[in-house]
Amino acid sequence: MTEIRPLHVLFIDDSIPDQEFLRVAFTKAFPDVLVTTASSGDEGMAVLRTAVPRLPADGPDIVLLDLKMPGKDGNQVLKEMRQEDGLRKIPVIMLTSSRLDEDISRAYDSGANAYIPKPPDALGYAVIAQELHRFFTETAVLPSGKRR
Amino acid sequence: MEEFSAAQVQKATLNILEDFELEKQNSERTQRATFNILEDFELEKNNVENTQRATLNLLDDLDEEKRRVERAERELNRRATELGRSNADLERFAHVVSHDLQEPLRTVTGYMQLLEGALEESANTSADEYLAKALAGAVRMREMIEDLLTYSRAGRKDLEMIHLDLEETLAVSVANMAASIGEAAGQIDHDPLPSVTGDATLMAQVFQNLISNAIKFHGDTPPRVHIEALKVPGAWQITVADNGIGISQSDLGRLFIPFQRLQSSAGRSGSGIGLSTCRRIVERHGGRMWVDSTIGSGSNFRFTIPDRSTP
Repeated sequence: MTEIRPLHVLFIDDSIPDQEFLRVAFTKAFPDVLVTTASSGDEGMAVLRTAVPRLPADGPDIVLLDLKMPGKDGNQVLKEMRQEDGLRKIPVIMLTSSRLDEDISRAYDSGANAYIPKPPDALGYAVIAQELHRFFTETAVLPSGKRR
Repeated sequence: MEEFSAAQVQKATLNILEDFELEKQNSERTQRATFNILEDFELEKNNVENTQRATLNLLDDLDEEKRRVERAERELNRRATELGRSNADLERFAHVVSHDLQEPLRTVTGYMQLLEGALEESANTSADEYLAKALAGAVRMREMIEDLLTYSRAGRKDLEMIHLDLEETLAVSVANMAASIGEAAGQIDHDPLPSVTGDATLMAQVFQNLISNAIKFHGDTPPRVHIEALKVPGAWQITVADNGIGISQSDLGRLFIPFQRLQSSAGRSGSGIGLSTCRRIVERHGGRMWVDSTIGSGSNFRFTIPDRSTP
């Protein structure tokens, strides 16, 4: 019998402090959750493509994606993910400081599942972590099966 | 044969003399009348000449007035353009202040909050580490604000346009950066540079910024910077060429936008506003700034300064 595995979140963002805030936010409330990070669009795509053979059972269950990164930006990562068989069904949630209508619209247009403006501090990340965890482990069902 | 008496001859002679006298008087009257007509004519001629001169003066005044109106129109257009640019700058400034400063502020606030949490329980991360990261965020914020102020001043300071020997301006910039140039074992050389009309402080800032970038973004070999000038119609085109790491295609488009960190800037200091400040200064002088660069082959930053010496 397969046991229910903990949630695996991949956060792609060039800001190291934001990576740390998100990691602490999840692991403090949900110690089992695995948070992995990538600091650029290219690194993120590399991590995802390497994970494809192990999907959907292993590998990231959801991807949190920053928009403005040097080099390959969030939108490009999103588009590439939506074009590749192995990666298309992973829920992608934009997590970015931009609140511009055009950025929001373009992200949803490119296939984002949700768009979350970055919170102003670490406590805000804790709230997001709580909500995302509850949503994806209790309310919604992931393509990778039940998670906790 | 009739004989005329002496008396008859005398009378006839007197009559002739009278007629002659009358004729003489007539002639003198006619002469005076003619002189009067000539005098009137002379007066009339003077009047016409005076009128002619007055008309020419009026035309000159009109010409002068027309030129003044054209000058005023040009000044008005120049100020309207400057106002437009100033407004655009202000909007961009406001956007940068409200948006880009959020990131370091989040860093400071966040780590302080983690610090609070870390003090309550025994965490893996030490309180010192959180404090240090919060402080780093605050330092970054201060740098951004300082650079924003420089950027703002570059746009608001009244230009003190004087005769500038660009070789002297360059020397000043290089002297200001002697320490960092020395540390990087950098070499700066230049071709003969022209004299232009410009603001000494601001133009020195442009050179300083461009050289600083060249020194910062060098590859494995020590940085070498070469400055040269090319005369183009109406202006001088200055090139600051370096042998650094170059700029990628995707970064080229964002180079002059304030605070846009580039792929290559990871691990290097600086907030990323220098180039937009340079461009702003150059544009205020009436020139433009751009870059030619290929990743791996160095960069050529070029800008123009109007040549006001030729009419």
